[in-house]
Amino acid sequence: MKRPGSWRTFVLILAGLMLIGALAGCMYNPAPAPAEAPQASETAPTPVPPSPKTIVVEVERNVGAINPANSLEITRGLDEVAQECVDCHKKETPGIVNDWRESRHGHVGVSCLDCHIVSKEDPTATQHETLVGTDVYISVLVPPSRCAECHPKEVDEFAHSGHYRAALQVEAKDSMQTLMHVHEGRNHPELNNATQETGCMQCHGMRIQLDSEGNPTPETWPASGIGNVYPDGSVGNCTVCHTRHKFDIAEARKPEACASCHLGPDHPDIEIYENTKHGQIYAAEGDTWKWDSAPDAWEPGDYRAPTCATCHMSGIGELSTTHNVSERLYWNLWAKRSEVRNSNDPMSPLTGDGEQGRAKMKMVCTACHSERMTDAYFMHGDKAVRLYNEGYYDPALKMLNELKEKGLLKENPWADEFQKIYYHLWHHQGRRARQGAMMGAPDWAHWHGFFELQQDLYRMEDIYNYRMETGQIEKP
Amino acid sequence: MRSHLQQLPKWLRIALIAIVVLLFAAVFAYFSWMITDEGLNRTSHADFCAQCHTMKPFWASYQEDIHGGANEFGVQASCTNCHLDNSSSSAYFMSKAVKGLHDLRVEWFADTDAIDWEAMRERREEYTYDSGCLSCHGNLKDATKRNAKSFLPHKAYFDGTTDKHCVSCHPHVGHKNMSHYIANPHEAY
Repeated sequence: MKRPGSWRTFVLILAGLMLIGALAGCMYNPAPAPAEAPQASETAPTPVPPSPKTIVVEVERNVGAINPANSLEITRGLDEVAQECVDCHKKETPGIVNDWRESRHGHVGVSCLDCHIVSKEDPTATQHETLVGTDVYISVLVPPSRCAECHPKEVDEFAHSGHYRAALQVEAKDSMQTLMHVHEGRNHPELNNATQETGCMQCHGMRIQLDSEGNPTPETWPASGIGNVYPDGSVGNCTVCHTRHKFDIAEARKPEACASCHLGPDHPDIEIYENTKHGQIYAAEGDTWKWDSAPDAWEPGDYRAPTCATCHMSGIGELSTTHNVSERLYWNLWAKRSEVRNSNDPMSPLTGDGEQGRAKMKMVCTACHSERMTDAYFMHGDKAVRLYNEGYYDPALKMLNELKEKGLLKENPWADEFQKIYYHLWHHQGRRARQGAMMGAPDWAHWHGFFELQQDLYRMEDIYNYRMETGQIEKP
Repeated sequence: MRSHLQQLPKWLRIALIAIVVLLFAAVFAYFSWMITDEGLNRTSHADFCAQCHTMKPFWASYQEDIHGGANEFGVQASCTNCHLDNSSSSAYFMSKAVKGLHDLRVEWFADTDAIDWEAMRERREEYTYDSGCLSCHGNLKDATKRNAKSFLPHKAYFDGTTDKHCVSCHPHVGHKNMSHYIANPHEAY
């Protein structure tokens, strides 16, 4: 019936039509025809509601604007209870939900519950009114052991760092407890804990205690310090640097993340950083750098100068990332007398491996600088640290011991001129000189450091000579 | 008969004897397998283990748990699925023998009331076996890739960059409300 060529003709015609269609499609300019808009406004004068795209742009421009959080409806990746959390908290605490919305956790579907859920039998288990009757128990406390379920390497590294003992050492040292509660707290029956609550534990952390309901007590929480000891025994506080509830890697890479604790007269590390060329470059153009590269892939080029994180933690060149901030250190610059680190115990004042630490830190430096420059830089710093040890701390300690032997020290160190200066010598000026020198901050090494140190030492010698000659403690 | 057998060619006699021996061996193997398997099976489940009073809190908390059958499918893991080394048949058999004898000795000759079970839970990695978990959750490595939030923690585990065990992060798996039953063992009966 059919001629054998008929289907071939049909296909050829069809292919021809498709070719013409494709060509027309390519040539057609898909930009919205401006003629359409006036047409629409003529026929429908009501204002067009903003498209969802407009809202997104607005949100990005106003990070922290909480209005968008109020209208969130999320089902992706969240189970029913977690959706209920968001439904309520977007109204009750929109800031928290907004943070989470912008977090990596939000991206991968780590919900409120994934971090806050605890078993019914956990001592921290609580239920607020909407959970009563369900099998879901939560805690406001999220210990590092929970973070370690997904980030085991980071938490383990932290547990080998000097940060680990931040609260434990305050707790263990009688002299610190006496300073807080007796001298600063005035032994006040009701208020003696005030300096701990507002000062010490907000950097060092706190052993968090629970009330009968399983909630943390106000005397021990909120504690923003890095060395919190949680009821399950786990130690640390990841949210110090990766603040709640955004847990942002970019934030933790900026020097400000460290600056809420590493500042002030006794370890002005942020001021030291600002005094360095690195800090100056950061201040000048840091806002244009790339801050959110993947861990271990954040390299020179993303930034033009290092931050605290770059040198002490980040993967750079062959070095891989570490949350052990003691890992790249040679000296313990905070101690009364600086020694080379040589201990595996995070509770030891010498935690770390000094030789390896120095080698690793040099690997950081040589990512940008020559080896000659790097070696000379550390030679400068090491000389300054040794000068402090041998020129200042050793003679100061010698005088202190002799006075102690002769009974020429007051029992209250905080009311004794010699002991006060001794404390300032190592704890304030001495640290400024050493840390300023090792981290390249000339003003802190010199004027706030060694200049003050020699003044301290001369004053101590005066007091020492007076006491030794008269056998008496001077009257004020 | 004897004479008949003797009349057979030598090779046939040997063949006949071999067949009889093999038959007996097969029957022996069958029965010993059956007895061993049945024995292992009957001594692997909660009802057997919970015959000892010491195990009541763990039996009760197991009953309430998903792994104890409190799920919509009624599937149950047995005690030995988790508490014995499932990495090979010989490892399984050896750990069953060692643990079984240990438990008998403690149950009969030690003061089981003096055991601080809550403290024991702190070293749960020592008496549960990942090989057990993985013998049922055999496709865990791939399965967890489908879910972004379970991918990350299990990646560290399967990459070997953490020394955590399954129960390190799943501390309550297998037993629900165990602390309650440890504290109130009379409620476990």
